[in-house]
Amino acid sequence: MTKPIAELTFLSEIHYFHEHTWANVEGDLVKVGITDFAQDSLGNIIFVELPNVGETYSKGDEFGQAESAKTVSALYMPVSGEIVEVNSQLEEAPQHVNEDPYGAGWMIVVKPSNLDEIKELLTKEDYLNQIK
Amino acid sequence: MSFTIYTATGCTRCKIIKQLMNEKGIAFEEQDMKAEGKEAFQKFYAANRKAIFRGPDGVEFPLLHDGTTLRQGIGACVAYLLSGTKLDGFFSVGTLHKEWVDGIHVSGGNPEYTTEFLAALQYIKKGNNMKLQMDTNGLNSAILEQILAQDLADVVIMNVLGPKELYSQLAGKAVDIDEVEKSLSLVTKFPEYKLQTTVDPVVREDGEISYLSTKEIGATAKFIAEATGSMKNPYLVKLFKPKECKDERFKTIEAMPAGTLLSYRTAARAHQVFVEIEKN
Amino acid sequence: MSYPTVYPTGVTVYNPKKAWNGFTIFQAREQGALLIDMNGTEVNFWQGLHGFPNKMLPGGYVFGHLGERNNNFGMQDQTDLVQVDWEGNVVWKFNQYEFIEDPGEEPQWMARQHHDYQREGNPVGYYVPGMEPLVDQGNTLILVHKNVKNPKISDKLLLDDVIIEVDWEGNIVWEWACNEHFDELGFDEAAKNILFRNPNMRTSGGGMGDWMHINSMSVLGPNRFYDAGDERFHPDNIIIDGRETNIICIICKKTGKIVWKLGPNYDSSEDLKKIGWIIGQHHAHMIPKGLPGEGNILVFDNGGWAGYGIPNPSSPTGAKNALRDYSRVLEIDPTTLKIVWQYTPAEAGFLMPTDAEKFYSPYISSAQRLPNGNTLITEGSDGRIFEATADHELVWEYISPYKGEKMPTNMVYRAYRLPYEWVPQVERPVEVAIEPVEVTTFRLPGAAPMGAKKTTVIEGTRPYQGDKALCVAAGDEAEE
Repeated sequence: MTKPIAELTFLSEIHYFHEHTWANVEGDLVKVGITDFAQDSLGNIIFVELPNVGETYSKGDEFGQAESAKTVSALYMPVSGEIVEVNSQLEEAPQHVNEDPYGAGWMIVVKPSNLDEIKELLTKEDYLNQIK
Repeated sequence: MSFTIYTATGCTRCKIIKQLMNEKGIAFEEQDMKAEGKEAFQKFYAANRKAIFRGPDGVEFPLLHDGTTLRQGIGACVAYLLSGTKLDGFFSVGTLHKEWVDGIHVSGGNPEYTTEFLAALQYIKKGNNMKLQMDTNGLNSAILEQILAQDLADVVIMNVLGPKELYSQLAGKAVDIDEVEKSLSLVTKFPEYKLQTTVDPVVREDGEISYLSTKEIGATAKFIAEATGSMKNPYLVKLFKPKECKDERFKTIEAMPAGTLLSYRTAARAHQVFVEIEKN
Repeated sequence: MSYPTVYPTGVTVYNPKKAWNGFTIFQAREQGALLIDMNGTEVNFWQGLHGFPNKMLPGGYVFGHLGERNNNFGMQDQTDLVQVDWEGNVVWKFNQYEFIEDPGEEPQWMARQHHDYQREGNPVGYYVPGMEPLVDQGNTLILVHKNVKNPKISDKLLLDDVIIEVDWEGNIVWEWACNEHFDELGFDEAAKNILFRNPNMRTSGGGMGDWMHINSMSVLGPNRFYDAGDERFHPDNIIIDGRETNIICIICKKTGKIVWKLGPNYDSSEDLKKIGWIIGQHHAHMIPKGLPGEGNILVFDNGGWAGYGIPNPSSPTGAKNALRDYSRVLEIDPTTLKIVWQYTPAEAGFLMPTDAEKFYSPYISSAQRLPNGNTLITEGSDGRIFEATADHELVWEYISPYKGEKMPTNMVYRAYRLPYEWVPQVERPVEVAIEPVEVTTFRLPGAAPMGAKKTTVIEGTRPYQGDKALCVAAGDEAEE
């Protein structure tokens, strides 16, 4: 059962990609995960498939997938760049994505090839309008 | 050997498998992925996800594991519990729900174990009041004959692979075409049946790969007409999907545009007047 | 409204100077395809050749059908589409769409064609300078029927409209089924509700819902909108209209998606309100390039009864909930949605609204734009075919004398005008003007002329008033 949007959490300081991933600038790196809306729609996540460190992807590329018993959902890059770190904790504890999608449930850290792409992403308000 | 069954709360098929294990006195542990077994299932899934089948509605339950072997879905679980690995090939994970069970391949297993196969079907259908949808490509016609005699199938789908001349090649092994003809004549006698042909890629004599031609589909329809004695069978011509193909040779072949099937329908119509084509 | 029991048939009005002179082809009710000249001379009669509709091709060819499916099982299904030459030889035939086994009938292939078809080379099936339909090659678009189940629309068996394109050899090379585009048609909940319960159920074949009832299907052809970059009007795209739903729409030939649409609701914007409700319409098509009004949509807006929606006193269930008892011919710019030209009872010279239904055909009918700007209109239900100038002057009129026996009406589904040159087999006919009869003085033998034998004068009578105080108000009186 999915929750009404009002009961979900959306942070103001991060950027949103229309394919339901978020991006948070940390120095010259960008941390990426999925939104509260996305984890809620997926239901209990039982596995997260993540890329290898060193691989590069373009914005909009599929970098992995999140799987629940009911569905499999592709994960999309909000910015282009090289993967410099992946959240290996999710291998053992994919439930972190459900429990804390903006914190312990983060997925990858990207070294962006073009930081300007951040400006093209949605604000909290834009994203809320999209999922309404 | 210790069995673990992974279930979902309210899953009737899971109950049937638990019941069978109880009947046979097999000890097992149950992990309900929606309840206390959530974490155990998550671990099991992460370790075995490549081997676990996902249908359009997600992971199909039950999943039965004995430490070495994994079986998924009611058919495969019943077969394994009754006859071990003897019935491998006859069952795969189906995608139908409620009272319907599919993923039963009459041509897929070893005919030496016909008795065991029929017993497994009997258990599912007669013992548990399920309806069975089976498929065949014409091989193991003797089994099909017994299924008919024992009234075990509610729906039979026959994949008529192609015209006579190409049948062995399309099946990937030597095929006695008389068997296929016999299956065709049997299949029309079931309560409900459908014939279908996928426009498959074929390796030609010169090594080139090309799809079955409209002429070859026409010849297939003619073959059906001769073997069934009818031009009016329910018959579907389907598109080959390279992405879903397991044969490495054909994975990279370009998918045929759906509109192309129109000309195949025209070709098949001369011999099977009710032919339909698959929509995207 | 009263309708005279005595009236002339054949050609009743003809002004050779203002008419666009040529032959006219139509289906004489229960007789066959009939080709007449401007004076009504029957030039060729293809006996028994059905016509839903009949159309001519250059060289004296005529399109038609060898037969119609037994009405007990089929709803307007023609067995085939044939091209017949001047002497009656079938030179092209298509019937291989569906194998039909009706009880008591010979099992056979049928086209199940209905209402329309188009031969490559010409987008609309009537004369356009420089766009001649091919006569010995080319593809043909055919509107056909297919029975389908679609729980999204209704739980009842549906009679769906399908467009197929067949090549000269009869192979189907393209196919489009209307029911697969239900979601794109824009029905509101009220419409979906009644449509689900009663998708215009007809009794043929044990009951089937003729839910859309497409009665026109033509190609856009080259046009100024596409030339200006508007992809919706790609020359290959197809325009259809659905009588039961009041929808006119354009289908993208490439994707099958609906890319332009009028209806089913005509209240949803100011532009649409100005057009007003188009009801039970026929023959909506784009005027081809090369004819006056090119690019505009020409439609015979029948009025009558059609549509699905909110119930009202005239439609307790919401089925056929839009009503109007007169017809209109509208020419609409598809980009601005402005009415560019129209022929309604007002232009016909009838008192509005009280005499409006004197221009009224609640079913069938059509409108063809002619090269001189005139419009040939089939006011079908009374078998009236007439030609009006852009200024609405009546310059030719023909009333079909052919009344059916099985269906006692002289209805004409759709008539087409064609140039003399399309029929090389006959000499150009002599054109004899027929002056409109002065009906106030026209008398049958034995009937007395006007003029009182005695006129009695009364002191104190006052002059008569105008038309402002009839017993009924004009529909738009309050706005004036």
